[in-house]
Amino acid sequence: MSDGQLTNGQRSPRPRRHQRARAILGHPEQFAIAYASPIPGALFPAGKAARVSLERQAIMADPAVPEWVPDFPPVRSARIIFASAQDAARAWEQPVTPGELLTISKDLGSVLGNTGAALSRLSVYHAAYQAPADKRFRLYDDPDEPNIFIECAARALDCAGRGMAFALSDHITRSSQPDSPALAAGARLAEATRTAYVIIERPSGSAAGRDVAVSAFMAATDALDAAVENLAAHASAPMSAILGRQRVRLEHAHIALRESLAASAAGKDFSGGLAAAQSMRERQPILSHRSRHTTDAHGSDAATLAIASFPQPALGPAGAETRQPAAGATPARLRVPTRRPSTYGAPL
Amino acid sequence: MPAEPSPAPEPAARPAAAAQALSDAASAVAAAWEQPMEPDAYSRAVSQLYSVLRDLGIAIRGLARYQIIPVPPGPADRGFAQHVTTSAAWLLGAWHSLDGVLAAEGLGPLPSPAGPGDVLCQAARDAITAWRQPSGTAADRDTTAGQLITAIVFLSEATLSLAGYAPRHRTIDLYAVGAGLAEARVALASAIKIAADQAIRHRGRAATGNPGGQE
Repeated sequence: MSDGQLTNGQRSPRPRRHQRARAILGHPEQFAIAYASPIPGALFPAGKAARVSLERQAIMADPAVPEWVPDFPPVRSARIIFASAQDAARAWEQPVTPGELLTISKDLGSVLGNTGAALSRLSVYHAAYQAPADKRFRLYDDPDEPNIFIECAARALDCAGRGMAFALSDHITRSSQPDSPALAAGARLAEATRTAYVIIERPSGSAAGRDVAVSAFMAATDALDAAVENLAAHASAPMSAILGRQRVRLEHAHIALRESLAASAAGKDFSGGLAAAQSMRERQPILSHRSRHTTDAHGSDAATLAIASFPQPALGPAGAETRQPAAGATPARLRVPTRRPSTYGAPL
Repeated sequence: MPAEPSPAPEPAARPAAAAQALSDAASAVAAAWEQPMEPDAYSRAVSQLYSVLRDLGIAIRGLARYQIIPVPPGPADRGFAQHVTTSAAWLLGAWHSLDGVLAAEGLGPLPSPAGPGDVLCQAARDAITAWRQPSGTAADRDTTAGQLITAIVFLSEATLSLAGYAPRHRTIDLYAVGAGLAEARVALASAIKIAADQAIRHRGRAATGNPGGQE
């Protein structure tokens, strides 16, 4: 039984870190409740590695996915989620029926869980250590510290995915409107997150590359929050409360990703890191679309939004390459701009 | 050949001061969490414990790089670093034990009024910075580790208090955290060469729900 299918009184043993890492090498099966994989299950497990590899190559070569520099798998993964979440946010601005809302919410559970699984993979990013020329820096840089915060974000989204699956486990979710744009957007977003998960495997590269990928995932989380916010506007109790809880978890994930960037910046800072970490936090607002709502209420400046959606990464040159506006991006219309200054999470 | 720049001068007491602040905050938390709490306060306490375990695990990894000044003669002793790294691994393992908990980040200024858990979160967060480039005498290093052991003892007490009135699904997680904290403390004790039997006694007390007093 998957975690998402647990009921009261049933509890799966929680895997340790290495077990968790092994568990996510394949597909995130635990979040496949609402979204069925297009890959025949009969291929498991013998052809799994080859199949995943072929699929990853196909995704990376797909001309339909807009190019983005640097375009390595973790960044493309975040970009795929970001683009689909923006589409979903637009689609979910329109009214949805209660039946559609239920189906979309189940897809959303897969979306959040798969995004968490993708971040879990990113959290084992191997940054090849290159001793800095300046000896002062050799003592301070802990390459694993940013990864720990990425894992924290992954766990927040994992909670969100399981929370949605658990909350909706008793509901039948087939809608009578298969051509509904809202339903299609939800299905596409679930597919996008599964694709995003597939293309991250054994991520490695430079620390700067990891920071760029983290920045991209922050943007993806921001876009997901906008989409959930638009969906929640159509929901009544108790669904509105369920979606509200997932937004808190998205916020936590965003904060943890920002802390990853802060830790990365602090590790490279000679003076001990406090100022560098604080400077990074000040440059990266939490879920920027919430504050942007107040200054860009009409949503007319698409280029500005797209640039702001991908926060400036920690290091200059890579960041300059990544700040390319996404053509045609339009902001989600947001309805809840305020945020509590200090949010505490809660156990499930 | 150009001269290598020397590391930034750090007050020798800084790592020890961070450890002392941690110990004080953990002591206050152990007292505050002794009594049953309302569900909201309980959830927040578990979130705070989650953040503290993570941040302490990160911070202690920094402590493993402690530079003794003046540099002692002879080959470098890697025992301290290994034991401290082991301790950090236990703390991060304990962090993993808390499944389905969101972090209370402890960023920014303390809320008003600040509870003991808020202070502990911030102390753990400050320790990351304070121990990122630790240096001092061997005595300072051992004092820091000793204070940290004390903090972990208090944190064990606080954890076991939370476990005492936890919802059923959380109890096992919290006992697992308690066990991880006990192992982390034993590893730290080994790092500063506290007698093994003394450390084992403390571990036994923590495992049986009676973490005992300070080292």
